[in-house]
Order: sequence, then C-alpha cells, then structure tokens
Amino acid sequence: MNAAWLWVVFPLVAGLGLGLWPRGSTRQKRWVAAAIAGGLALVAWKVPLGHPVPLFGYRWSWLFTAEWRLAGHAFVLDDAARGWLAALFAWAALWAWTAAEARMAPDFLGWTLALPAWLTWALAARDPFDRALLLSLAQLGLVFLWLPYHRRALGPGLMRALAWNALGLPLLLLALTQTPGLETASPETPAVQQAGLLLGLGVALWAGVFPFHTVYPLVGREVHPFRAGFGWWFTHTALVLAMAHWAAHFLWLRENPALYTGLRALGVGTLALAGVLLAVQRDLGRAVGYVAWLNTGWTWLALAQGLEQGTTAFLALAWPRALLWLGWTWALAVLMLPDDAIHRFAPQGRGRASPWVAALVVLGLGAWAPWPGLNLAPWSAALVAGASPNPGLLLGLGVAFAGLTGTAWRWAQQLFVEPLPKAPPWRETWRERGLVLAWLLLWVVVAWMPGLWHQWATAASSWLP
Amino acid sequence: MPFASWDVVALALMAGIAWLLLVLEDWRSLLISLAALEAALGSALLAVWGPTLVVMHLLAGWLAAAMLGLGQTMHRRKHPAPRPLTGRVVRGLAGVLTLALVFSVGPVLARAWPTVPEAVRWAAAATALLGLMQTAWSRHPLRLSIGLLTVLAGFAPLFAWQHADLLTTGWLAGFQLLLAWSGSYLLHQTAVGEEAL
Repeated sequence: MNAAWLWVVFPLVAGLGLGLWPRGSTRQKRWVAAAIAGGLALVAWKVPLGHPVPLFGYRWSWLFTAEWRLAGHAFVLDDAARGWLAALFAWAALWAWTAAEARMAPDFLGWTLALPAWLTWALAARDPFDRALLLSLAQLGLVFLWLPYHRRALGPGLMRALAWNALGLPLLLLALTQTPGLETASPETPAVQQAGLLLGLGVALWAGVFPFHTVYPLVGREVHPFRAGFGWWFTHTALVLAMAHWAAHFLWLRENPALYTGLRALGVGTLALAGVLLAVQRDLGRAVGYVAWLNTGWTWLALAQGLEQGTTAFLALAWPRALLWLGWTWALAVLMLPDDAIHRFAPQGRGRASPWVAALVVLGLGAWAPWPGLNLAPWSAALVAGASPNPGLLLGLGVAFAGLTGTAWRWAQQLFVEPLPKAPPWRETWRERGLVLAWLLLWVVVAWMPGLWHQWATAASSWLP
Repeated sequence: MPFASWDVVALALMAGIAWLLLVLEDWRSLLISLAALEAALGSALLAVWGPTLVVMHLLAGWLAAAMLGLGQTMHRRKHPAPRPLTGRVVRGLAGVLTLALVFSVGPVLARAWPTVPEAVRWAAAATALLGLMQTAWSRHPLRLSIGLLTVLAGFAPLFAWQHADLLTTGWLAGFQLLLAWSGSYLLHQTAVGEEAL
C-alpha cells in the first residue's frame, strides 16, 4: 500500500466528508476526527515506511511504499518523514478533540484532517515548485477555515492574507527558476544573490516578516482565535520545514553565515517589536495577532543556530509551543463564550466568573516571555543559551519580556480586578476546569522533558537532504 | 517555437489591458477585460508552451473571471454610481507613470532575466506592476482579486520562458482558480462590500 493513500488521500477525503456532512454536532464529529488523526499519528510513529513489516511470525508482511508519482513528479514519504508526520497528525488530533469546548462549528473538524493531509502532500514533494505551489494552495484555503459560512468578513485582514500569499508565490517561483545548476554555487554569484533576494521576499510575505507583519493583527481581530491559532500553527510549521529543506538543498544558503546572522537579528527584532506593539494594544484580537507574530520570532531565533541545529531546535521546541498555542487559544475561546467574535469581547471582570480559564489565558501569555533565570519557558531558555549573548540580543529579549509580562499584568487586572459591568454571560464549568488542569499538567510534563523531544527532533530532522 | 511579431502584439495588449483594468469602473467591463487579458496572455504563451499547457492556463483564467462574476452577482449589489472622472484620470495617469517606470528599470530586468526576450520582460513587468497598483488601490474584494490575478498574469510569461511543465502549470491553474474562489467568497461574505468599486 502506498503511504499517500493513508496520510494524504484518506484524511483529505475524510476531512471533506466531515466538513460537508450536514448531520452531526461538533461534539459527535470530534471523536471521528480525533480518532482518525490520532490513529494516523500512531501508525506514523510505530510503522516503518518503505520497509516490509513482518506480520504473524514472518509468514506475511506489510509494506508502505514510500514514493508515488504524479505526472512524472516524485512525492516521497519515507522513514525519515515519520517524525514530523506523526507530530502533524497528533497535533491535529488534539485540536480536533478540544474543538467542542471551544464551541467550534462542525466544519472545523473537517479542517483538522484536511489541512495536515494537504501539508503532508506539500512536504512530501521532491520538486521545489510542487512544494511551493502546494503550500500556497494550503494558505489560500485558510480563507475558508478562518471565515466559515455563518460569519461575515469584518475588514481587510483576510484580503491582506490573500494578497500576501498571492504576491509571495510568484517571487518564490521566479527564485526557483533561477536555481537549477546553482546548487553548489558561491553566495557571491550574482544569479544566486538575485535568487536569494526573491526567495527572501517571498518567504517574508508568506511568514509575515516585518514590514509585512500587519496581516497578523488584522486577521487576529477578525478571526476566532481557535481557528486562527490552528491555521497559523500548521502553515507556519510546514513553511519552516519547507524552508529548511530548501536551505539544505542549496549550498549557498546553508553555508552562508549572513543568513544565520540575519535570522538572529530578525528573531530578536521580531520579539522586541512584537513585545512593544503588544503592550500598546487595546483590542484583544489584535493582541492575539501580535502574540502569533511574536511566536515567529522564536522560530527565527531557533533557525539562526544553523541548519541542522536550528531545525532540531525548532522541532524539539515545537511540541511545547504547539501545546501552549492550543491551550492558550482554547482558553481564550472559552473565556469569550457565549460570543464567538473577539472584537466584541469585553474582558472586564470575566475572570471572576471563569477564574481557571482566565488564569490560563494570563499564564499562557506570560509563558511566551523570555523569563530571565527561570526555566518557565523551555524554548526561551534553550534558545537564549544557544545564541551568543550580546547587548542587542539582551536588549531585544528584555523589551519582549517587558511587553509580554506587562500585557499579562494588564490583562490580569482587567479580568480579575475590574468589576463586571453586568451579570456574567458565562461561567466556566467543572469540566472546563478539569480540562485546564489536565492541559497544565500535560504542558508541564512536555515542557520539562527536553531530552525526550531532543531525541525525537534529531530523528525528525534527518528528513532534510 | 519562434518569437513572432504577433507575440509582441499580444504582449503589448497585455500591458494595455492591465492599464484598462486600473481605469475601468463597471464590474462587467472589468471581468470582460480580465478574460481578454487571459486570452492575450495565452496567445503570447503559445510561443514557448505547447497548446495543452496554454489551454489549461487559459481555461483557468477564464474560469477565474467567471467565478468572480458569479460572486459579484450573488452579492446582489446595486450597480454603483460612477465615480467622478477625476478618480479615473488619476488612476490612468498613475498607470502611465508605472509604464514609464518599467522602461526606466529595463536594464535591471535585462540583468535579472537575460535569457527572456526583451518584449516579454517589459510586458511582464508592466502587467505585474499595474496589477500591484490595482491591488494596493482598493479594499474591495473584486478589485483586489482582479489585481492579484493581473499580477499573476504578469508573472506568467517570465515563468513560462524559463519553465514548462504539465504538473506545475496545473498547480498554477489551480492556484488561479482557488484565488478567484476565495475572492468570490470574500465578496459574498464581506460586510464592507457596499463601498463603490
């Protein structure tokens, strides 16, 4: 059996079916989505790809064929891909399972299967054109995830996301047309410099690098945080993996010290600027967007450690980050109840009615900060340790720390100290409190087991050529 | 395939229609012009791509225009009152200035894409820049989608002269269609769509 049938075609069809099937509530459908995604993650974790697996005492064997072809183009899901494959579907299972408490519409469950499947297809592509085009199609599809049929578009956020994606694609494709035959060229070659410029601009548009970051607060204000968080996390992770694959392919990228210096500056600059902008936001939705943008700063800082170490660091920290992102957006979604529009949400005094969920929102925000000398956030500790300490880095991290903790403090005051203007529209239930507790325990266990994730990340990053 | 004089006409038409798209107000005229732009592009691409690829690209472009038309019709918006002539004049002049800018950056384009014929480089850059201007000029989903499709139409000749492949062209056609679908969906769902085009 070809691996594509199980990890691409099946979840795509199942996701489409779950999304379009008119009957069944989110609470019912989530079990199907979580079971399928979880099962696929489990199989990817346990079963080798491309090698026969003995069954029933070696008389029979099972083989997942690693490669498939489409119009002469190769797509490969081999053993080296199992690390990120298992992670993608495991995250999808968690998002699907928690969707009911976040009061998502049933269409969301379809996305929890279809989006990872499509990104798997993109990452399996061997041809860089295929990978770029499949990724761009996934990013275009986010418009339908972020704006379900029962909602109305509010403003320019989704249009800007559409525009950045559509403008980034030609730049990336033009860069890739210039690279054949230049895989091992020197970074000083003019054609390589031009390709690098186009590639950098394309990635900057797709990832929302400054000055294209404005898409984050706009989308954050218009889209439900749980949907926005899901879309951002998956497309961002796939984009980083694709970038690492491109970098590994081209000597002039992977051996270029300017790339890593630039990534470090970009990481620190993003953290600092996002911290400042976050601190001055009055609109909660825009703040969510800036937190997402700040999150990309940690990614750039991870990748600045070099291709292999950087990708390993990114993957090792992906699990705690994914869980934090999921838990935080979930808590925001529950806190906003019964409304589902963040631009209408008034946080004043809501922590009194829902103290556990509100505490998770405040703690989650604070946990993104680079806490000095305190191993509260393992990614920041690991990345700051990996980067050579210099005044610029320390200043950037200090500004990010001040912005994040200041915002968390302000939110805590709004949620817990300010009085409720009227009777609370929603009070958390014991089930939600139990989920907060379970999530905190899971996060603490995952975040404090860096050894385990490092081992997994080292194996997963062997996927790079 | 040789680069015929008709190809130069088709390329010049592309830039001209892109300028027209910037100036026109009525949505029907905009969509008909977009379909004409795709036809001119397809005609120019025949110089480097086989008929299969060109037909695929052309059909995707026309379908994209049809999707946007469908979205606009479903939006059930009244026909907007035409804007004052000055708005169109300013946009038209800005478009002419953009064309002048393309001529001034000709040497840069020549250094960047030396293997691509000069006429292709200029037409591609002019169309893409005019599309970019269209994208930046309006927050209306229809104009934005048309602008982005114009940028893609400008990029297509540069890409086609360096790369010809069935699957890649298929993905690109899919991208055009999904882009138009997204634009049409936003047009249908938008709350700010009442502003004039």
